[in-house]
Amino acid sequence: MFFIVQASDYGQHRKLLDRMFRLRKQVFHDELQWDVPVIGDIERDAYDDLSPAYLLWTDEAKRTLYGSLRLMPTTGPTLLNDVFRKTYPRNLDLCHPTIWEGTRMCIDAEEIALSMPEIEPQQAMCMLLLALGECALDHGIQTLISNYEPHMKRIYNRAGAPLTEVGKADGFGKRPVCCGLFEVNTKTINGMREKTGMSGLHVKDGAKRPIGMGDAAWMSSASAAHRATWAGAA
Amino acid sequence: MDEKDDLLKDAYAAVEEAEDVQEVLNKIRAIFGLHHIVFHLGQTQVDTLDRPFVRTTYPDSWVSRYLLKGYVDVDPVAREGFLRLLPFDWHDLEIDESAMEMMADAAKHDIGDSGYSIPVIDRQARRSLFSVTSKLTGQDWKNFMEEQGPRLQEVAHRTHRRALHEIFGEVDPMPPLGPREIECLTWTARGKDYAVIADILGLSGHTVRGYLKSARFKLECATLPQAVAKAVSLKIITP
Repeated sequence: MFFIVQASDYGQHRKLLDRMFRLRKQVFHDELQWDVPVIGDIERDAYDDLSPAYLLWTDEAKRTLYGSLRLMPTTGPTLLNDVFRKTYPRNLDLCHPTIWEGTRMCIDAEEIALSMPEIEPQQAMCMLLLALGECALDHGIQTLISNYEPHMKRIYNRAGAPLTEVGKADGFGKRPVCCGLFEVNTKTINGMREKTGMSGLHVKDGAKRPIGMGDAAWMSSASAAHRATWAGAA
Repeated sequence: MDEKDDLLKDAYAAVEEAEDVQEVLNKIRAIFGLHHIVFHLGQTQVDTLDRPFVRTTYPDSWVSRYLLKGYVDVDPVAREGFLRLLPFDWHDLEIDESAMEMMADAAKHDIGDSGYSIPVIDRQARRSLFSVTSKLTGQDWKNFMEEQGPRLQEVAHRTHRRALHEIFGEVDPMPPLGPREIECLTWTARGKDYAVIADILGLSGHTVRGYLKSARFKLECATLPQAVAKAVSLKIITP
C-alpha cells in the first residue's frame, strides 16, 4: 500500500523510516553516486529535519518497504530551489502553497523482486509515480516539481505523467539531474490511471491504520483493486 | 486561480487593510462565509514571545473554557497541526478517549460542525496553523473546501506574514522572482495569455501558469493584473 507519513506519525513508523534512510543511501549514494550527506548506512539531509511528508510504499502489514519519496511545500525551504539556484542559471525558485516538490524518489528493486516478482522495476517506478499523483490530488496539490536522472523521462512517459522539464544540473553524480514540473488535477491523474491501467493506489490516511491487521478488515476496495492489477500485470 | 478572482482579491485586500490580525480573521470569516477561524503562530527560535500568538473568532466563553480545562493538551488539532505539513480535514483526525469530553464541550459552544486546518511554513521555516470551521457538513462541506481550499491556503500564508509583521514590526521580503517568472510576467504585461506565452518560451501551458502563480504569490497580489502593475512599479519588468 502507498500512504503518507507525516511528523505526527513518525514515531509509529520509525522502523519503516529508518529503512527508508538506508534505502536512500543505497540508491542515491551507492548506486547513483549523488553527492548526498551520508552518516553510517543512512542518507539524511537538512530538509529531513523540517518534518517533511514521506510517501511510503509498503506491504499490507507495513513491515516491508518497497519505495519512498519526500514531499515539501515550496513556500518553505526546499532542496530543489536551493540546489538548482546554485547550479542552473534559469532557476526555478517557485513559491506557492499548492506547488510541492517531490525528491529522493526511489524503490527497493531487490525487495520488490523478492516479494512481487511480477512487477519489474520500471513498472514499480510507474506505480510510485501514480501513487504520488493520486496522493497530490487527494491533498490539494496542483503542481509537483521533481528531480530525476535523464533516463527517468521514459518512466514518466510510461506512467502518463505530463512532465515539463525546466532545468538540468550537473554536479549531483555521474549523470546530470533534471528538474521537471507536472500538473495535478483530475484530468491528468485520470490520464495516468488510463495509461497505466491502475488506480486507487494511494490510501488516504493509511498511516493511521493499525499495523499488522493484514487483510480482510482493513483491506480497502482501493487496495483490492491494486491487487487485481498486480495479478493482471503478472 | 483565475485572473478574475474577486473573492481572493477581497481576501488579500482584507489582510492588507485590517488593523491587526484579529480584524483580518473577522473580515476573512465574513468574505468566505466561515463559521469561525483560529490562527496560531508557532514558536520559533527567533521568537522571544512569552505567550503564544493565537487569534480567533471563537466566542470568549469557548476560549476561556478551553484554557480552563487545559484542552490544548488533548485537542488533536493543536497536537498534530504543527507536526503536519499537508492541510487536513478535522473529520480525518483520530479522536481518542481523552479528547471526547472536549469534543462534546465544543459542540455545546457551537464552534462549527466541520473544520479544516492549513499548516504554513515559510522560507525561514517559521510555522503557523490556520484553521477554519463551518456549519456545512457532508458533501456540501467537501465541495466548499474543494473550491475554497486553494484560496484559503494563500490567505493562511498572507495572515502568517501579517502576524509576523504585527509581532516584529517588520517581515523579511518574499523570495525574489526568478528569470522564468520575470519572462512570463513580462509577456503577460504585453497582453499575451498562457498558451501564447507557452509557445514563445517553449514551455507547457501548465508550466507557465505555475510560474505566474508563483510570481503573483511572491509579489503578494491576488490577481495577475495587480501583480503585473506591481512588478512594473518595482521596475522588475518593463512592459
